[in-house]
Amino acid sequence: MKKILALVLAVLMVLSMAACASTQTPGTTTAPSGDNTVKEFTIRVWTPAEDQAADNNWLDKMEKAFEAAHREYKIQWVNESCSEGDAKTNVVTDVTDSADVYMFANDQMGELITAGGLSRLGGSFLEQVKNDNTEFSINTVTHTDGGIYGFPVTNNVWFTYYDKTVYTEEDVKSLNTMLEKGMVVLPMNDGWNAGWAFLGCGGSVFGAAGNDADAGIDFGGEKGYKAARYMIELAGLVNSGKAIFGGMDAGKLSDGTADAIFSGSWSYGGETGLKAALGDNLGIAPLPTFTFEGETYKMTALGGTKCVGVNPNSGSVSGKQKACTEFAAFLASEEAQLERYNMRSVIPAHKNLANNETIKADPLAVAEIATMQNNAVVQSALPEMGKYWDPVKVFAANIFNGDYNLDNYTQAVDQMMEQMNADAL
Amino acid sequence: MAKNKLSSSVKAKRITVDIIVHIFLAIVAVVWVLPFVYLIAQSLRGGLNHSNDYSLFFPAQYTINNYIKLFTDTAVLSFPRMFLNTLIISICSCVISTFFVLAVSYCMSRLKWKMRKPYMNMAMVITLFPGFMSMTATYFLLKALGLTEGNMIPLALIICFSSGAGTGFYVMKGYMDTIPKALDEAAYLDGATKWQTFTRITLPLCKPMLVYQIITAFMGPWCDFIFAKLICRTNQQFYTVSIGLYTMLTLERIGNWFTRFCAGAVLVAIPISILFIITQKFYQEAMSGSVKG
Repeated sequence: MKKILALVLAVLMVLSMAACASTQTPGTTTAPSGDNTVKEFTIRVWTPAEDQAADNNWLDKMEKAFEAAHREYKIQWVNESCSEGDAKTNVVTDVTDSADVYMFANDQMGELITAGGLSRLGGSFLEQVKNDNTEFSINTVTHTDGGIYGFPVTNNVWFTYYDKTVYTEEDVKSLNTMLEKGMVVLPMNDGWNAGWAFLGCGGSVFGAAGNDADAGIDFGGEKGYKAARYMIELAGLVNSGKAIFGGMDAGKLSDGTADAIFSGSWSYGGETGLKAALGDNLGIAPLPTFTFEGETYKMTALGGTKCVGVNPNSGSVSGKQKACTEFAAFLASEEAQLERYNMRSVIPAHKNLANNETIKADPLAVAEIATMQNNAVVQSALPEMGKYWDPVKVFAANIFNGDYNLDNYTQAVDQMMEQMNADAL
Repeated sequence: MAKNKLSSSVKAKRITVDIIVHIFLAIVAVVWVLPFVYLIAQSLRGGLNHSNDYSLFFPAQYTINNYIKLFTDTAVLSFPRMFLNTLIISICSCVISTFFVLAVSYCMSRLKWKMRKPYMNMAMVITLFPGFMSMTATYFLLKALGLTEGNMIPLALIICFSSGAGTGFYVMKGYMDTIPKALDEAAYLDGATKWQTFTRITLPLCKPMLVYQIITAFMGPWCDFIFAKLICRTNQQFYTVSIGLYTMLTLERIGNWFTRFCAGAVLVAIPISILFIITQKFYQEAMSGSVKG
């Protein structure tokens, strides 16, 4: 009985190993072919399903344009859908059987590199990333080894949405004024948003560029205590009904519960979006400042980018890796990003496009780009970032439910710092 | 007099207990039903100005548009396709699994063979481990067989859901054990083969358990998320409803898709309800038969 079971298990094991081995064989057959011969490949591409919508197919358009620009390739496209947020899960499951070119959120970069799912860019591609992007965007795709691993295509950050009948443009420059004149949803319920007071008061997450693991998360000391005191003051406002504790609650603005909320570009469009609900009364602005204990700080968010990356396991066909990288670079080019904005309203990350007339006329794009430039710190792609989310979320929750108060907040900050910088992951 | 008093106090006590129990049951019933009421109410939510009011239990406006859009607006996520995929996979898995379970149970209950006891123990041990523990191995096995790509994906899912069904024979076997063996022997005496005994004698008597088996065998694949997600990965044209509904709730989509998600979640209940209504008839019939027998 046991023997049979052991035999079956052994066979299964061998089979699965064979399955891995057969696909992992490194294909470095270098058959130099003349420049004028047409090379044939199959390229597998993953983008969000919205990029491939039957009636609004940006990806297909880009692929056709790429083929027109590169007559030396004959490409069979395999397009599959995978949102930037799901890239890590899907690629890490089986790196050898994943897309050749795919989009990912920059905070997944560390794990994708560890899994062997992202190529380091070099040569003209590296130059393209450096020339086309702001320093901030470049930092989001720079790994600890100094290499750059992706082409940024859009930003990922949150900013202010407000009701113009309540606030003027001047009002929304200061959170203090906003809190006085109307009802604000304070973004405090999630790891991604709860740290803004700490970041605003001077806290840092893995150094200025977000890729210095040794620098750690620095929310401690007087700046941390000050942020905590400010959060306690805000908790007081929430308790007396003058503000709302929440997150990216677009619904609270569209149903009139609140006069201002903080959220990202996804809350804007569509038929249930804020634009549809508030129409011309919808105002959009970069994050405001806040004044506390006589000093003024910027409300600061974690900012990331969504990028196009290339899988190094794209098979043994000679020249395919280059073609894939060229295609990724093409998807991140100025024209492609502008076209994506026109078709899908995805705000571009390209630095030249910030001065484009169409983009400049869009308050959403202006607010997002300004927030990225002035009110954001790099959302780190280090695996150590995993220690950030829970402690900061729990800290904020405890402030707002009254467990942390002016008597014990210093210990609480110290304790949070300890958790965030503990050695064991 | 004293006796009367006593009985009235007993009666009063019983009434109090009944009241408490009923209040408790009523509360539980409300709590139980509430999510469904919310789901249905939200699936009918309409209007623009109050379109994000998840917090309102009952929407301010009602519309059937969410259902219509779920089936017409298929450019980004095609719900009809997912529904059809899931239906095909579930029906195939249901038929195969049910047959496997019946066949294995019959062998275990009626046939005497050498490995019977060890086999039952082995199956018991294997079923103690949750199926998803083997998911990575399953994925690579299916990949080695070339089943994780293109049109083979539905087949891979059917294999996933039905191949292990045979080990879930315990309940069915237990039920078959309660059917007197004398019936089988009588059939053999009349010249029936084993297959005939199985289909003509045992199977009709197993109807109540068969109903249970069919429903669970259908619901397993219908509601499964883990294996479907693992095997479909990014092949959206093969998504099942559970993955489809999940992808409607990502941060970027939830604003526009939440009401459609609710509509989809309501629709998902329909095939299971239909199956239940159809099979329930057999359930009652079989019960009446077994009382007589």
